Amino acid sequence: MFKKIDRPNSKFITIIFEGEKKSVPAGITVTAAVLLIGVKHTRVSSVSDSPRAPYCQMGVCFECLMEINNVPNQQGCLTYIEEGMEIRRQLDQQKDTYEKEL
Amino acid sequence: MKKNFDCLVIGAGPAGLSAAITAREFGLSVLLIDEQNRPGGQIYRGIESPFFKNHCGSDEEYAYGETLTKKFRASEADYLPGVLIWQVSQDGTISYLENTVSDQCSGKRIIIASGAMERPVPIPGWTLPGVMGAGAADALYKSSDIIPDGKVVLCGNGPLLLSVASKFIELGVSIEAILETMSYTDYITSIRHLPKAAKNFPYLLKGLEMRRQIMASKTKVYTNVKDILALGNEQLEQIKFTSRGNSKKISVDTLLLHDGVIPNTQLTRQLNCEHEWNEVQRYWFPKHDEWGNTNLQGFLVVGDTTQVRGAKIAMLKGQLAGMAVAHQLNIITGEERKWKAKAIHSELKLEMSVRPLMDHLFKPNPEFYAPENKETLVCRCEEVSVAQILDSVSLGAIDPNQVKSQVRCGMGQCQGRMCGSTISELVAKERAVNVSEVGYLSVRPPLKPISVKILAEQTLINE
Repeated sequence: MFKKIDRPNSKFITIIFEGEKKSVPAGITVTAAVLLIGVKHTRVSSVSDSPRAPYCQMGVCFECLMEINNVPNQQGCLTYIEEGMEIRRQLDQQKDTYEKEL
Repeated sequence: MKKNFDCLVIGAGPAGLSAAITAREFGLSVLLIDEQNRPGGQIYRGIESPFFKNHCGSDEEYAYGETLTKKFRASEADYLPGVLIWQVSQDGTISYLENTVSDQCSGKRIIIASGAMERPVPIPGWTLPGVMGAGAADALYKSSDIIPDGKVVLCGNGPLLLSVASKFIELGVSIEAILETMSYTDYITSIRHLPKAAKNFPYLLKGLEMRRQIMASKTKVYTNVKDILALGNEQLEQIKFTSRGNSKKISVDTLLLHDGVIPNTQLTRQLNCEHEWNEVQRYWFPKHDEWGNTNLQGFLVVGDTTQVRGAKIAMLKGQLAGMAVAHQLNIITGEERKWKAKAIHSELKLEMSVRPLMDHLFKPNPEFYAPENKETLVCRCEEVSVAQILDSVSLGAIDPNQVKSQVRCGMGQCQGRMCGSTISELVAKERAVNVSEVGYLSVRPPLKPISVKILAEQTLINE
């Protein structure tokens, strides 16, 4: 659970999270945006399907791998949101990736 | 864009920025490559954004960082932000991913400033959503201006934990408790390093002020904390631990773990640089001389990648490496380099005075670096437990790579970044030898996920 710090004159932009429009503060990372809208997990483990959420925020743990603008395996903590960006969790990671590659 | 440079710098933290600035001052062509889309590294993450100024504008240390980024912007160094390096070759060629395109560039000299990462803190349940690094929460705050909501517990040890705690208290985050894992013997054994550290009095004062702030806030602090468990179904719900031998259970939404910081050696490992083992802080670092030269001709290391010493020392080391490169490329003589570096060496000496105290006071916790609870997942990606790693050793595996071949730890998407140090520790402990004897996982390209399609479409630099 995360919240935004209140600032006067904050700018908001719209992202599309799993098909739904969400308004989020401009200039933040994909991971931050996803946590801010209340998403609990960003992917499931490829071994046991257990839910996982971002752990390190510095490009090391790869727990924030998401599908950004239809490209899978993107590190959400290193990517900044843009107007209209489409973001999906990797909930069935391997299957999804294989299907795209084939 | 130009592809061949005198000097490539990897990483836009304090070390990389200052190395790039210095190399530019000698007229060298410089390209700074970074995986973030703005300069600053982790310590000054988001320094150019308005969020950052809101909170940290007055802080002297951060003002220092701001000056540095401004100097860099004015230096006319080429800058390639937001790209992921997936291979560094010994001939000085770098392959990187920019969005969905892979490209290459090369340098006569490569300065690696890949910084540090939080030491992974494997405890049972650390893969649950709701558990993250304390430095991670700080990075979210710096980069995106968001803070944890709900009940927060901070657990572990280290200056960063203190800094995050005092910052979050000030921001009104509801901190249920701080769990200190530091042992009393660490306090006592570090006293002998105090006289030397006293040379850098302001630094010590800053640490004491953070402690005072935490105490004044009446935040519950548990000391001598052991046997920490994160519990929950689909996400974190509770933590269990003992404090001075008494069992406790707390309901919590976010658990922030921290046990110090270790060099990020993924690039220098992939290059096959020689590495050394720091026995006090228990981490590997690339072997280097006073100028940052590694054992590989043409490759230098600076900043926290070389040993974790903080931003100021990182900046100074960046300057030295920039001078070393200027000397190696015949811009200045050895004498000139020595003369120019004199002031930096003496400043380094003062800054270094506090490090032995810090290294001994904030020693890593054995419960974290070599977990005894057999259920603990060491490798998050492939879900390999302590028990599986120990079994592999008892079946005859003598080094991390053999363990990896047997049980797949280190083969997932993080490529061993999160489990590498723990595997080395467990193998060494089980074999009753020093970690330096068992070595580390082999790191191979690609360092970042890259699809076969992107790889096939790449044009090579020399074609």
